[in-house]
Amino acid sequence: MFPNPPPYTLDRDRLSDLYGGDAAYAADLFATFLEIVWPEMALMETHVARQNWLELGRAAHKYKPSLGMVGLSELEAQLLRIEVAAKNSLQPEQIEALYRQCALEIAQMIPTLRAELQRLLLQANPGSANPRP
Amino acid sequence: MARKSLQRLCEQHEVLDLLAVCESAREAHELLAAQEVDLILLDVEMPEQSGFELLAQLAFVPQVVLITSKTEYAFDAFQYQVTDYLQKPITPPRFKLAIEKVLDLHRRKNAVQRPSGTKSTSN
Repeated sequence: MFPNPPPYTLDRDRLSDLYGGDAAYAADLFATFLEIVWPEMALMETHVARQNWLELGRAAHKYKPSLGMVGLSELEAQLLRIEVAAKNSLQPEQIEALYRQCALEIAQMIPTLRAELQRLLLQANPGSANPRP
Repeated sequence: MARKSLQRLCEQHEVLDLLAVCESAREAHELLAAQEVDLILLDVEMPEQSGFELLAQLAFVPQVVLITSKTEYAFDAFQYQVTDYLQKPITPPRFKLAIEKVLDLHRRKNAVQRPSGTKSTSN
């Protein structure tokens, strides 16, 4: 069985606006997203399980810019939809469905982000064959 | 992540001297009570206390550049006479423009004094 292709491509225009040609800077923030932000986003699952929509909305608001910073503009917009849905007390099933879709698509984008991090690290350190195992 | 980006932008700027990165409004309040700074890069949404609440508590308010991911705070920002207002994620050109505004105001305020670098703190 073939793995699903990533649902989105990275927003290269956005990444160019944010980092210009500074690969080391971009790599630093991609690594921060993969090592710190994404694992922390798992807490959103707890808010959904507890139907704590206020906290889910807050978390969506908090993580939204981080998705933009790694070129996931469509998913940033999805987090905004979750934030608004939670704030406006939409039906719990609707909020949960929005969250599930977003969480799935973020997970599907992780290999793309890891590959991009490796590319950026090689670009920043051209002499290094395997900059981050 | 936004804080890390902001810290890097400050460190790369040729004029800014980053004095501290605070984790909360309370930590920033304590620092600002003990140390004079020229500029605060202030996140509006912080745990426990907002950036606006922090500003309301300060006896002396240095120049402030507000950082937020919401545009709806623009009116409040205007009321607090902040120097500029940056929306996350922050691009380097927009950051530089904000710092140019800060420096311009700093120069005008200190026109008769000896020129000096600008010290900043961010949270």
